[in-house]
Formats: sequence, structure tokens, C-alpha cells
Amino acid sequence: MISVLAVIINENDTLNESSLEIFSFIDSLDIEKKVTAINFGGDKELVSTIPSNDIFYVPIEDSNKTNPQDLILALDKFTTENYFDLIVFQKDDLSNYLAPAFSYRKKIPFLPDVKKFVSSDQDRMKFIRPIHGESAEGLYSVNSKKPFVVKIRKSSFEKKLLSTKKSDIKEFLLQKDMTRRFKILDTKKLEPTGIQLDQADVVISGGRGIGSKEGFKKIKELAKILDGAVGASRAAVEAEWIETSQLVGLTGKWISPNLYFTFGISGASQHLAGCTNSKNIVSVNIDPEASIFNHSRFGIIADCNEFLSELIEELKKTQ
Amino acid sequence: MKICVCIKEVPDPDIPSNKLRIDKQNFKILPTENVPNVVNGFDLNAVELALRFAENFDNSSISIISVGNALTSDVIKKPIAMGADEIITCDNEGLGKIDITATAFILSRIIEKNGPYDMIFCGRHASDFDYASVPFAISEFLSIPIINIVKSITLKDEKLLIERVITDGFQMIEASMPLIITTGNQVGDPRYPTLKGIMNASKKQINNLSLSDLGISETEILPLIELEEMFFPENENKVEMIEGANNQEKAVNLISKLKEEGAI
Repeated sequence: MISVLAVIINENDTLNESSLEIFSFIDSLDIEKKVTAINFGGDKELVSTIPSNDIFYVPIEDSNKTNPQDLILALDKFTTENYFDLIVFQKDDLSNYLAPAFSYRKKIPFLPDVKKFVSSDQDRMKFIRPIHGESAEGLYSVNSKKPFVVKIRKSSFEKKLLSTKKSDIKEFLLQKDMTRRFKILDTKKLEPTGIQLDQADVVISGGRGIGSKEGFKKIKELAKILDGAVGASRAAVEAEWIETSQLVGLTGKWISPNLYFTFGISGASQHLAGCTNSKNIVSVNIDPEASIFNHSRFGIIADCNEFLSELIEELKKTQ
Repeated sequence: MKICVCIKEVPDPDIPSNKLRIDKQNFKILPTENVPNVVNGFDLNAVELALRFAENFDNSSISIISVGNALTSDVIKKPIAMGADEIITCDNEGLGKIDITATAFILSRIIEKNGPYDMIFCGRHASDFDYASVPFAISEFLSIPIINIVKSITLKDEKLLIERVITDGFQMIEASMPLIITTGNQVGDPRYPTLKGIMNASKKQINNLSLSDLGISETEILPLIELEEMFFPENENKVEMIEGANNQEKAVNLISKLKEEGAI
């Protein structure tokens, strides 16, 4: 029997839905476990339906000014008072900071971006995580007799359903880290324009092969016809044909649409990292050897700009 | 103003995935064709931000530090060509397979030995192993606070005003030195090396330190987490190529395929 802690960071008055992926990850471990969840902020009603044996709630005054230094202190205190064999984080802005910082504060091993649990024996647990974007994978093992920290890769596990009945939640209070050395003055969220990339059902991306800002007008036109969002590879963003906010990949948005079109994208690992969770990938590239075809459901060898124009014309006819 | 930037040599992340192979013995990703390694992209953003920050002071120096095995001197000297002042490495056989903690431990020792530094810059993560952890471990080893994914730093009186990038927005943070900063591509393009910079880099000696120079024993850098195996994921994907006499015909065929599948 192992004791597992799920760390959940919620925005004000909501429950971070992707945190439910943590519980499917925990379910996938082939050993008996007791699960505790610690929530930083969020809607108390929703938090009380988290699928966990024990639920803790840490009130957050203003999530726009949450200082990660205070959260590390709270987690440090909480995990000193309560023993856990395994502590699991998900992938969001604050967790990306907390997970490594907390692990090294406690001097315990940390494995980020776990996509699969493989096996456990006497004293080792094994996991798989991607390497070099998504082009390779590594099998990692860790001594499970001592505490360790895992951060799961986004969208690698199903969201576990909330429980139908509410559990009691216990409060754990945040203390200000008096030694903290920086202060969050303000948080500004940019108003989203158009359909959000990471929530879109259809995404159309352009890459180096599109060749110009003009080319992206066509991409936008196709996106409009298909009610989709516009994405781009790093090459296109760097050439300033499209805003950085539309970057799909390791360093940009992670998307999981039902239908993903790539035009003039070769399939560098940078890009694949952000799009391999797409259900159907349709790729258009002039190079028959382009590695994007290895990850696509449908492939078209063609000049991507010419094909894009034809596709728009034909789709207009069917509407 | 003493500044340092931690950098890592990596395989070019723009190499398509079908042009890569794995060195299973050394756990390395290698290109199948002769494509030179590069400095991790985000580390070059870190160099760029460090150079901009240094411009605020009359007297400043930037040290580049790197840990690895068989580093390529032409590659890791790029920050010198961009304008950094010196380069210190711990390039030793046996350091090719160390884990995050050990890497951060060695970097921290170099920083302590050559420091104290007022500012430490790092890329937000490396494109090869993408742990995004080494700067956090350095922060704990040296007890220096860390702010990740910084876009810009403004000096205001004695304080630093830092713009941090978050998903769909940004944060303004007030901090003081010493501080660790990590950077992403939001910093903007790293500057091109000048001719003078390139000449300077070619003459610059790399100051390579051994583990014993740093007072580190091999038992201190044993992995906490073990990478047992590296492989390419099995690709069960079968692509269906859409044919046609011309692009119009291909477009028509694609649309009917997508309709068949219920994708549109």
C-alpha cells in the first residue's frame, strides 16, 4: 500500500479539469494505494467531489497574486506533517514551477512529463516519458522505497469522472513565506481572440512551406470555413507570418483536435510534441519524405499553397 | 555586475524525426546525417537577455558555463561570439549520462567557485530531454530565488521589475539580486555574432574544470532517477496518401475521404 498525494492548482471559483488526469494516472499504478488531494484555491463544492480518499483545501486570497514561494512552503509543511510515497503534479504554469522547486527543496527525485506507468517490483517503479520532443521515449526507473515526485504529461491520461457524492474537505492554511524574495505585482490575462487553439475541434497550421504572411491569409480563410483555429510551426512564427500565440509545439500550445491540417510543416520534433494527440492529422507537403507523413492519417504530396487554394475552392462548392 | 549563463549543447531540434538515431550505449540522440549540434535555443535567448541586462551597467562581465561530455568547442563558443566574456566548462568523460540533480550540482559548484554572481540566466528547458528542472535545482543548491520564463527585466532604483510570461498573459514581478532567471523565445531573437565577436571566440580558451577542481566526488553525482533505456516509439500509424491527377482532384478526393470518416 502506498500513499499518494495529488497536487491541484485551481483558478478562482472553478476546478481545474485537467487535474482529473492525475487520478487516472494514479489508477494506472498496479499497487494498492491511498489517495489524498491537496487543492490550492478553487470552488469548494466542486473540490469536494474530487475522486480521492482525502481532500484538503487551501484557501487562496487572490489567485492573480499567488506567490509560488508561499505554495512551496505550504507543500513542504504539509508533506512533513503527512507522509507520502508519491506526489503527483500536472502541467500548468504554477505546477511547472512548484513541482521541480518543491522536489529539490525536499531533496527527493523528480520525474517530469510521465506519459505511462510501466511496472513496479520490490523497490523500483518504471515510467515512460518523451525525449527530444516526441521523437523518442525513455524508460526511467526510480527507487519506490523512498518518496519521489512525478509530473504527468498533459493529455496522456483520461480525465477521471468526479464522484457523485460530496466528501468532507479539510482546510490547510497558507502561510506567507517571510523569507520570500520576490513579489507578484500584477497578473494580466490577454483576452482570447477567435477560437482557442487548445480547445478547438479543428486546427489548421502553416509552416515554413507556406512561405509568407500572405499564405497565412489562406490558412485563416480555411480555418473560417471549417470553424477551426489557426496554428503555426516555429519557423512560421519566427518569420513573423503569424503571432507567437498561435505556435503549436513543445514551446507553444499543446492541441488535441479531432482534425488537424498541416500545410508545409516537415514534422520536426519541436512541432510534433504539441500535436500528436490530434485524432486525425492531414498533412500537405511537397517533400514525399517529410516526417510529418509518418504521423498523419492522410497525406497529400503537393505545393501546399496551391493545394490550399484548391481545397478552399472545393469546400466552398460543397457548402 | 557579474552575470552567468548556463548553456547546453543539444542535437538540432529542427532535424525531422525520421533523420534521427539513438546511441543506446550513451543515451544520446544523434542525427543520421552530418548535422552539427547547436546551443539549446532557449539558452541563446538567455544569452540575449543577459547581454541586454549587462548594457545597464558600466562594468559588467558575462560568464558562460556548461557541463557535459565531449562538448563541441565551436558550438559552445557561440555566446562568446555574441558578446559574452568567458567560458567555463566541466567537460568530462562519464558526465554524458548524469541526471538532473547531478548536472545542477556541478553547475552550482562552478557558479560558487567563480562567483558570486548577481544574476544567473538559464534557458527554460533543453530541447533534447526537456526536464525544465536544472535551474530549479540550482536555485535550491545555492538558495537563490528563481523566476521562470522571463521576457524582460527593467532596472528600477535598486529593484528589478520583471515581466514573466504565463499562458495567455503575463505577470509583473518585483525582485532583487541575486536572482536566477529562465527564458523562452518570448525574449526575441538572439543577436547574430559580429565579425569581431567571431574572431574573439576563435581565440578564446575554454576554461575546463575537472570534478576534483570542483571538489566533487563521483559518489555525489550518482543518479537518483535512472534512465534505463531509450527508444523510438512504435509507429503503428499508416498514412493514406491522397492521389489525383492535379491539386483540384486531390482536394476533391480528400474532402470525400474526410466526409466518409465523419471528420468534416
